[in-house]
Order: sequence, then C-alpha cells, then structure tokens
Amino acid sequence: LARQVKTIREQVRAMKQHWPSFALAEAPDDKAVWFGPLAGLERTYRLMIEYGLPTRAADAMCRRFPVVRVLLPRLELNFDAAEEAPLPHVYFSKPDPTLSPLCLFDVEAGEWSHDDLIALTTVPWAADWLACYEGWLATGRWFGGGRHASMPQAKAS
Amino acid sequence: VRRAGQQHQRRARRHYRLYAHRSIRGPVTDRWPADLTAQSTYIDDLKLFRQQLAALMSDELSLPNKSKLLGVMFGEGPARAVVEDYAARIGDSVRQGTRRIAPSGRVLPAAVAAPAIVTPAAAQPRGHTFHGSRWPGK
Repeated sequence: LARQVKTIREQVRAMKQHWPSFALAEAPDDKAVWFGPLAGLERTYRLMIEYGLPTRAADAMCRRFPVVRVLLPRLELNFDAAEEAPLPHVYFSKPDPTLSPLCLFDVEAGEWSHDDLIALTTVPWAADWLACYEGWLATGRWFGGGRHASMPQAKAS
Repeated sequence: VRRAGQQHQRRARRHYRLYAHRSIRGPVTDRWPADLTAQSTYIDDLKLFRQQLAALMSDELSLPNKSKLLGVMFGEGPARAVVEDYAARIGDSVRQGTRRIAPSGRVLPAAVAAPAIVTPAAAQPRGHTFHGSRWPGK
C-alpha cells in the first residue's frame, strides 16, 4: 500500500482524540503547534510540539519531523551524570540547551515518517523520554537505550 | 479464662482513657512505649513518617528529591538501590516496548498497567530508538 503524508487536519484530529489536554495554538494549512501537559514518573511537564508539512526548502527541523520541547519544569543539565551528560538524547540547541528538542526516534533508521500520526508516535515517545529522563536525573544513568548519530547500533542501556 | 479476659478488658479501658486523646484507637505495636514521654515521641515519629509517606506519594517532588527523602527515611544505600531498580524497571519496559502509556502520559510497566486505565490506541506505541547529538566535546 502506498504511504500517504498525513495532512495537518488529520494530525489535529488525532491529537484531539488521543490527547485532548493538548491545546492547538496555531494551525495554518501546513503547520501546527500544540502546547500541553504530559506526565513523567513523578511530575507533570508542559510540552510544546511543533510540526510542519515537508516543503522543498525543508531546512526547518519541524518540517522534517515533529519537534518536541519541554517548557516546564525546565530540563536540568547534569554534567556529573555517569551517562549521557549533561542531557540525554536531545538535539543540543543554543542559546538555551534546556530547550533542546528531544530526540525520540532514530532519524537514520527512518523510524518516523510524515505518514505517521503524531498522537500515536511522537507523544507516547515523549512520555517514554520523560520517564527515562526522571530516572536519569535521580541516578545519573540512562536506562531507556538509544544511540547517537556516530554509533552503529543501538546500545543495550 | 473469664477472669483473665476481664483483666484484659480493664487494662484496655485504662489504656483507652489514657491515650484516646492521642488519636490512636488501638495498639499499633505489641510493645507500648514505657511512659507518656516515650509515647509522645513515638507518636511524633509516626506523624513525621506519615508526612514523609504523603510526600513520597505526591507529585510535588521530583524523583531526585524523593530519592533524597527515601535516604533520610531508610538510609542512603537502600534508597539508592530502590530508586535505581525503579528507574531500571521503567527503562527496560520502555526499551523493550512492553510498557503502556496512561492517558496522562504516565509510563506504566506491563506488570502494573491495567487495560481499563490506558488509552487504547496510544497505549502501546510501536518501538523507537532514542537518538540525538552529543554535547560538544564529549
């Protein structure tokens, strides 16, 4: 079956169905931004999800895949963590690394594409990230697995 | 036997008269503190313990702070071990894709996830691999 890029309308509808507490901030025909709460292990975080349909000049990250940022409480950098210091699995961004987009899937392995629904992939994956992040904050160890761009295979832990 | 029972009832009534105002309705241990001062200290400890348990159950504290609180309550070694075990169990269920996601977003390890409290479609998303860039210089 041919895969089909989901429209913004389809993404918005699915988000409303599965994550009704996420508020749609703006949604022109080719882009959408949501703000909403997502529970970690012990605390609830406020997230921003930004997504745009692919364009020829797809230089904006949000037009390649949904960009998820944690707004509140702010992410904490830990340079002394035994693993993944100072912040695990993000695309480090300046000037404020605590607002770095989360790296929720392997881009090189094509784990997400524009025919996927954000509500069924990105949001639950962000929940996974938050749970593992809280564990990392408490222990300095990242138990959620994953890999970095330079690593050939997924690591065990 | 009847006499022993009556004596026990008299003792219980006397204890109740002495300690009922302490809000303890019955013995919570088989060894009562020796005197009222010890009893008072014991009750204060129980109140503190109850407050600490409430803090552990609330969503006001982050996991690192709960870890510190557990350290105060039970000692650093046991606290560290139990928090690591907890984080590892959650991480394993995420990595293996066996967890479920509650409507709030909370990750539930398979063992505690009841089907009724999870959103059907988003509850068990397909597998994924955390990715990302390294901190410059790492």
